[in-house]
Amino acid sequence: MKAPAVGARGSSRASGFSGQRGAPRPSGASGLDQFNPEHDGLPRPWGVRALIVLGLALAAVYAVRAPGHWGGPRVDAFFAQWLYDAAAAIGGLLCAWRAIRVSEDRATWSLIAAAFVLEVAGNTFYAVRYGVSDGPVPSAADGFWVAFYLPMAAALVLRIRAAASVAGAVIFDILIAIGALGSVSAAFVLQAVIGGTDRSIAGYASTLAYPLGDLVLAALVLQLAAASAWRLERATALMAACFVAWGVTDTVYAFQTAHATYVPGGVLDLGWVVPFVLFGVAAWMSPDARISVREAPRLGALGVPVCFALLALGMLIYSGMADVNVLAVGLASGALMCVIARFVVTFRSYLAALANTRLVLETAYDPFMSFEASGVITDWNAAAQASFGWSREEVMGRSLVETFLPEARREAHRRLIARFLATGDEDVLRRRLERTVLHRDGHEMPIELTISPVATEYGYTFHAFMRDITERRKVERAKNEFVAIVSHELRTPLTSIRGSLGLLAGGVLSASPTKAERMLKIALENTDRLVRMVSDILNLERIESGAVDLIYRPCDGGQLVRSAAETMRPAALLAGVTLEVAGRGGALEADPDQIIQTLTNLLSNAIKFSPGGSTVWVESEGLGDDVVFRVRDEGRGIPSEQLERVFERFAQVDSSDARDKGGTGLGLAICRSIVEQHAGRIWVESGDPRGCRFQFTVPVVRPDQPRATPPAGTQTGDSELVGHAGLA
Amino acid sequence: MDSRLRPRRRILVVDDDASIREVTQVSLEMVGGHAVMTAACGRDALAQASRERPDAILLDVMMPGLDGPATFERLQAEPTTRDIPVILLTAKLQSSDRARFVALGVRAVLSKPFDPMSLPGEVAEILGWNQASDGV
Repeated sequence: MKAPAVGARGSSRASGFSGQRGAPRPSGASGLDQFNPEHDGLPRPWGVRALIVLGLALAAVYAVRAPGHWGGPRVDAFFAQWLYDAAAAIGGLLCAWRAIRVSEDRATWSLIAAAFVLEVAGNTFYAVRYGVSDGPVPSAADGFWVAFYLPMAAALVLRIRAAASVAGAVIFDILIAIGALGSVSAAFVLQAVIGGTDRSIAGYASTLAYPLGDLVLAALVLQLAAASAWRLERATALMAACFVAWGVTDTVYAFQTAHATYVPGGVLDLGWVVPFVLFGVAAWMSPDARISVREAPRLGALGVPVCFALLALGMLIYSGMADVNVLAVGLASGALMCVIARFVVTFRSYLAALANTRLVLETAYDPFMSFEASGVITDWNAAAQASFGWSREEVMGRSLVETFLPEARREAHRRLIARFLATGDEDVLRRRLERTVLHRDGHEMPIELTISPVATEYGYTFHAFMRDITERRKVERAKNEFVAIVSHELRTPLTSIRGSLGLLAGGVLSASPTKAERMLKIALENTDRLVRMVSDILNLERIESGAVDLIYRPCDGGQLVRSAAETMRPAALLAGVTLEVAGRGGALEADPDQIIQTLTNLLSNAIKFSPGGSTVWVESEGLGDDVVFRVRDEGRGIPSEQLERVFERFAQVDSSDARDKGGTGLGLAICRSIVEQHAGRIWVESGDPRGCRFQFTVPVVRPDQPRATPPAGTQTGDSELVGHAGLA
Repeated sequence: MDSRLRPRRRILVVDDDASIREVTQVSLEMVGGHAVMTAACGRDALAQASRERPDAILLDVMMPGLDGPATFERLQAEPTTRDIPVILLTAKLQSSDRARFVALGVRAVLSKPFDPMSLPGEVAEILGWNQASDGV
């Protein structure tokens, strides 16, 4: 059999190419699908083993038989033809079997099996149609043989896509490999084919189609190896070897055909027959689970060109040293390939590093930008867009100074860069700075940043990592304000104490006992106030830091409300405010002292801010899983925008309230802390029509205990409340 | 110098804290020998200053409603009170605040707590009353 066989062999193996992907993929349904390559070998049914043995035996018979052994060249060629077909069929069967029984790489092996079917179909058609005689070139069989390359290439592309990560580099590699292989191949084959015996254009085309098809597959295999970082599994290596055998055989075939020296059924056909069977072997090789990545054989970048140079040399020798120039061209191609491969490797790692850097910058939590000395923005990440409003597309190429810096900072920035460029004085460069910049909407925002100059061949580029510190500033400001307020609030009673005691100690009041007594009283009162304030601050700190252990006890909401009201009644009386108590209901588990303190604080506030003659209501009510406490007054109320703020420390509605009303400014903050410690919630609403209504909930069951049926009586006590217009 | 020999000045003490008001008053009266009137808020201070034309005003900074600096600005805006020297008393510690107050044009900023025995002397020193009395 002749040329036909040529095209037929280009298949590759698929599973072998998956070697670098370590972990087994989740597999499908059947029992065989469940195998774990890490622990089990690929299970091989006896039929598979039998087929492999049969295929290898056929190849051996083919190899050892002497030409003419079976009764003359025609009979010999006849047997050779069918032997060839049988080997291809066995290879295809093994690949198909693998695809059916193992889910791993199923698509790849199916495609390879399909390629073998085309090969067998082409051979059979040729044998039936033309027998062992030379058929026309091209014949219809060539259609099958050329078509063989399509599923085979698809199978390889599938594997490459799974293994490679940088699509651009993959395509580039393929082009380079095809170009280099083409140059080697052209040196041997093209010249010979074109200068050979007479052939039609179609004849040339079909003869060349096979080595060219092999060339494409070779490029793909190379690419696959490169995408696998040159770590080839045993199965992959076997397939690569098969492929090389086919490539060499096809090339020699093209050469011999061009010189009309090809003899069907000769030893050259072994170069097609054996790989058919070996493909089947590769299909059933177990994944190299035992070979770690480090141990796996590596084909260096230099190996590829060296292989081709050797191939060139081999071809030259085979052709009987017909043209020594061919060797020179082959070696030059090898050297060129070497350079190109080195370049490709470098370029790929550059691309990978670039992609990686980009990824790091884009996923960074902090805004990043680069700008040139001229001030043109050259990089801008997603975090920068989120923080400053400008998208990358909008801001790239714009002036940093005009886009980003407030008017007042522009000149200083220009001077800084100019001085650095002129003198190398880094000044504030490479240091943590705090600056104000402009958001896209025009508002100024504080940022923290570090600017690092990087010298490039085009001059300096400046990289800036930034961080929006608006929130931090707010916290710092709040902290400073808190410290200032605490300091001020503590110094106020101290002033009175220091003053009154100073006057007593100074002796100026010795003649005026009434005044002296008055000064003592002032000292005493302010000492009390100071003590109150210090303990409030400490209390708040302890509650908020969780240092206070709540002592949970079963108690009744109504009782707590009454206790708090009794405590506050004298104050209400003094202020001329009526205190209405309306709470019986709400059995709960809580720290009664803390709840009473909360109620007392709320009542104290309500009384303070209520005009004389008005009423303050306090009640409790069991509502499902919670007991709700409410304190309502008819005072001046709270502006709606401050309803949330009043629970913050020293966040009086009017900064003078603390002084004006004698409070510490911490009462509501303490209330919130206590309620939250109880896993409850506290809030305030504007009253209707005036005043305000503070409410807080406390769970019936302590938060660290499973919820149970609320104790009897939880829902009681509402009767008094229902009729109470002031509440609810 | 014995306080009895000093010229008796009329000083307006403005503070929202009753205790401080009282202590300051006693200090200035008993130690300094001055006549003291008091106001609990900025508005009251403006009214009294305009009506009584005191020789000096000791003004608290943090007060409800009209605070110290605002009160001072009103005093400055009013021709009848413009020339009354004002000393601020503050419990605020930040130097930035002090600089701001001085920039307003007050004569001095004194800290709370203060020593009631030396306060009258400090006030007299700041306002140059000692020299004036020497000349009498």
